[in-house]
Amino acid sequence: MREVGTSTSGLVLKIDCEINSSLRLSIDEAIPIQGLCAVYGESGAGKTSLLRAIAGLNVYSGAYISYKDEIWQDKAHFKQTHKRNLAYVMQEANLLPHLTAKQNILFALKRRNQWNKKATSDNVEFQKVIELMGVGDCLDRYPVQLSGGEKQRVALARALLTQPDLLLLDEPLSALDDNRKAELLPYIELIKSELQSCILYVTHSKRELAKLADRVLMVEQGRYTLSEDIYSSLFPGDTALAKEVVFAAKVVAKEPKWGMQVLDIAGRQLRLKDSGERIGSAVNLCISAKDVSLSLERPERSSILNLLPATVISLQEMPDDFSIDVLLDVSGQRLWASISRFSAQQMSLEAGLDLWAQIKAAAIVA
Amino acid sequence: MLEAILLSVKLALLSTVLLLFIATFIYLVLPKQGILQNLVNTVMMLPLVLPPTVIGFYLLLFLSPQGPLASWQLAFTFEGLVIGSVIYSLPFVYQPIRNSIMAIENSHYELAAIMGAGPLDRFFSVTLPLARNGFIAAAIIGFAHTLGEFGVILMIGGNIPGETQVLSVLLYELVEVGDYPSAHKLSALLLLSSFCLLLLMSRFSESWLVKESATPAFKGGQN
Repeated sequence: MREVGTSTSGLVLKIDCEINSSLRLSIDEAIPIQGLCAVYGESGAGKTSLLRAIAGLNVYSGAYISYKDEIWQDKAHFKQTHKRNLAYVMQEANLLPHLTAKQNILFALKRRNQWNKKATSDNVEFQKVIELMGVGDCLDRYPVQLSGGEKQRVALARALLTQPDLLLLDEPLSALDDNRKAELLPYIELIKSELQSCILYVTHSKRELAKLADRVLMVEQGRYTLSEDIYSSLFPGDTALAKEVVFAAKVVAKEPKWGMQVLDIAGRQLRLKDSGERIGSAVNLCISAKDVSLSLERPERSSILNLLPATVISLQEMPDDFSIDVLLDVSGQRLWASISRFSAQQMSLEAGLDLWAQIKAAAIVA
Repeated sequence: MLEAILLSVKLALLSTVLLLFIATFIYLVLPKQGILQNLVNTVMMLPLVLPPTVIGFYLLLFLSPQGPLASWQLAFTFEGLVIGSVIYSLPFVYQPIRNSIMAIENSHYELAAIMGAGPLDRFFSVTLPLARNGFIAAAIIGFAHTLGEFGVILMIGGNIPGETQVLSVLLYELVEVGDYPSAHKLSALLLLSSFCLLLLMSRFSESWLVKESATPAFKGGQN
């Protein structure tokens, strides 16, 4: 444990406070400045409460928050929100309703540019970010005239332009449907590469996490732990979180007649619904455990097209007493299958068994 | 008659401007809950239920040559009328302002703070623009209500042409002396102007109907 005040740099968070009768927020970590730190956990685990505490919107007694050795909150000090050099993009409602998109951006620039003198509406920096975020057409419209995705992009452009020391992103994509989400994810990546400051990104999507995060702040029931090893945090052997895996795949052919496309995963071919990717483009394929079923023999004439030869690595009984999660090896990559205990017994599953994994559904993520 | 019309308009304009500032100031400095808030609110609401003559009577006592504020020499003067009007119309102006400010979502203040706006800045950049309709409605109702005032004015202002003889008082006198043609004209004028003002106000007054919401939890939210 670090002594209060002696730690150097980074975002230091020491909070141990009851938020409500059923949740206690407890964290004692120092988050390095460089890179994107995902905040991952189930809904209601206290993720937004943590971000609001960092922003100074919620005040928890006894908390210690400092950034780059500048104390934001301790027993004697409290730096108000408008004096903390941060940007905060929430799930929605990030724009003031009585200002146009451009006025909203300038609102922040005018007040934040004691830190960033460069940013005005007519310089190169501004134009570049507007172009990056694709919000050129939105600038003169009011929030009510913008779509959900446009509003979030304007808010992200504003966050990027103000060059904050700390960027808080609280599920900025959650209010959007899956297509929009996939569209916006690259913008978050852009922000990550453009902004040389600490980014906290709240998500409960493993897909987003796997793609963006350098480290992850896991939260369970309000208790936070920082981990630099994303993959073992994401797919630990022993938690009951939804088991999804991400495969690197490549689009190799299209079958317009059937509306399908063929993807290549480690030499094996999968057929999926054509969702418009170009032939030759690399995609990430997300497969969750519930969409994988198992068969001892290669099934013929099944409606399920996608078969992968697999070997059982281990079996894991789930707490519900009825289902079992099977960890598989598919040409060196891991895959989870969630099946019933009954089936597992019928098939006499055990480690080392070779079988076929049938992929019922898979989602292409950016 | 023109003199009385001009005097009424002057009184209403001046009172309205003062009322907008006073009502906003009271809302901002008044605690959002507790006994003090209840007391002040109740006192401010009194003109809604008291006969105007009661307010006028007490004002007269205060302002009369024997009263505690005699040195101000305000009884039976235009300035005295302004004071009376402000007190009498305060609840009508205060309510729409209060309702429209309270209807502003706390998240807007948080957003402004996140973008670097301090408390005073937030008042001008969030509160005023978002409560604009409430302020316009308050100004219209304040103007119209002052224009139609009678009892308070008669008590503390009397009936001095050019100084305290406003429309409503002149009308009373015209009827007293039996000048019905002039009384008709004046009444029609007041009726028409009141109707137009209320019609205009209905455009801005949705926030009158907004229900009271909980006190903002965000510390900087109220201003």
